[in-house]
Order: sequence, then C-alpha cells, then structure tokens
Amino acid sequence: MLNIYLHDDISIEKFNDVYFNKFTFSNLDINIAREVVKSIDGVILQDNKKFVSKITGGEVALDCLSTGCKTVLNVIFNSNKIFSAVECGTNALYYIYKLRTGSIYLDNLLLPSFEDFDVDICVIDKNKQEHLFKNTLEAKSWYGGYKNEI
Amino acid sequence: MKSNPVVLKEYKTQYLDVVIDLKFTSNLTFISDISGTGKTFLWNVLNNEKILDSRLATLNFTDALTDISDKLSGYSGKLIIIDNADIILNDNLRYRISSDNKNQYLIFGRNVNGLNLTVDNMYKILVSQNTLKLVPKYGRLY
Repeated sequence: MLNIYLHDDISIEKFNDVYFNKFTFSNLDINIAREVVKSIDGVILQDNKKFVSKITGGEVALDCLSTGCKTVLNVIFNSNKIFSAVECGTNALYYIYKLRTGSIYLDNLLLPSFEDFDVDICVIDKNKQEHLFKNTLEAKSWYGGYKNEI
Repeated sequence: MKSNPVVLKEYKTQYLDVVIDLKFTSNLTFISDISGTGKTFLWNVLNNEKILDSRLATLNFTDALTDISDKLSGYSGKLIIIDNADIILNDNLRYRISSDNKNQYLIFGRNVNGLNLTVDNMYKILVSQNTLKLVPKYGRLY
C-alpha cells in the first residue's frame, strides 16, 4: 500500500535530488529504473546508467533526471522512507499513485481531473486519521469534503 | 500580477548546442509543467551565466538552510531565478517577492500560493529545433 501523508509532523526527505544522487542511485534495479525514466522523462536509460538528454542531445548521467523522476525512484527503492512529492509534476505524481508500496508527503492531494484509475493508497490526513482508497474517484470524493472542513 | 519586467525583457544565450531565447512580459514569470521538461536544465544554464552577467542571481534547494530573506534584501536590479520554489519559499518570502519592484523573478515550481499571479505570469518551457523558449502555459481568458 502507498502511504500519502498530508501532515508534516513526521520525518520527511525533502531534498529528492540529493537523496537520489547520494543513496538511491547506487541501489537502482536498472530494469525498473529504465521503465520509470522512460515513462516520466521520456528518455532511454542505457546499461551504463546514462541517458541521452532530450534537450542537448548529449549523453548525461542520472543526476540530470528531473526531480519528479528522481522522486519516483526514491519512493520505489526506499519504501521505509517518506519523500516529499510536492515538486512532482502530474506525470510523476500519477505514477506514484499507482505504486503499491512506499510513502510520500503532499501538502495538497492533487488528483487526476479526467481519468480515474485503481490505486491502493492510505491517506493520513492533518489530524493523522487514515483513509483507505481503491481508486482515485473515491479519493477525490473524500478530499472534496475534507478540504471544505480544514 | 500584471507588471512590466523591471530588469530584462529578453535574455538570449548559447549553452552547448542549445540556443536559450527567453522573452519576459511581466515582472514575475512562473514556470510550471509536468516533470522532465527542462526546468532545472534552464536553471543550471542561468546559474552558469550569472558568472558572466551580474544582473542574474539564482536560488535553489542548496539555499534552503540559508536566510533567503536576507539574500533577497541584498538584491537590486536582478533577475532572480528560483528553482525548487515549492520547498524553499515560505509564505513570508512569497509575499515579499510578490511586492518586490526592485527585482524581477523567474520561478520554477507548482505552488502559486501567495505570489499573486494571473495566467499572464504562467509559462512553460518549449524546446524545438535546438532552441529553448518560454511560452504561455494557458490561453488568455479575455
């Protein structure tokens, strides 16, 4: 189950770039990482853990991945840590929502507007109450009322 | 926030094979988009450029533990480029930036709270034919 914390009264890894470069990079499963990198940043990860930049056309190291992509990889490969996902674009965020493990912090539960999908998430609200959801439509329905209350 | 740029109306440079061709129409340009579109790449380009151009100043997550308010106080006549805005700008800094008429801002982030923005401030990055530009994120509403 993916845990989504809406309160920050907990230890959170805020600096995803630093954490990725320092810890996650060395523990990557190249096949899983390749799929994530292609899906989020739209680039092909090579066996030497480098990729061709879409912008410069040059081969670059993984520290040049987007912060959103690094956040997804941090969550996947460090399921015992809570990562801030406030910098994630919607592409990275929706990828995380589909994970079945890991933990993130969000100040605002940004949910898809047009396309709902199955999830397995536990949202821990600002009062530290847990709410379980099996699809994003359920989560949206709850979050609409919750936002009006807080 | 609809105000004219006080420092730079355009900025053009070359980085490797990429032409950076930026045009600014307001004093605060907010870049927000999905992940992997080149926001941090552009920040890195301008971070390098500040060595050559004293009108540029940059802030990112490496400044999170410093007094950013103090840094902003020391700036005048700068284009201040801020990456990782969602994790380094608190409410007070956002208010300060929205009311700063001595400097111009280019901010990369998602949370627009407290910056007093309109669609005129919202841009995204477009890379085409080796040229990186800023284009409006939304169509005009009027």
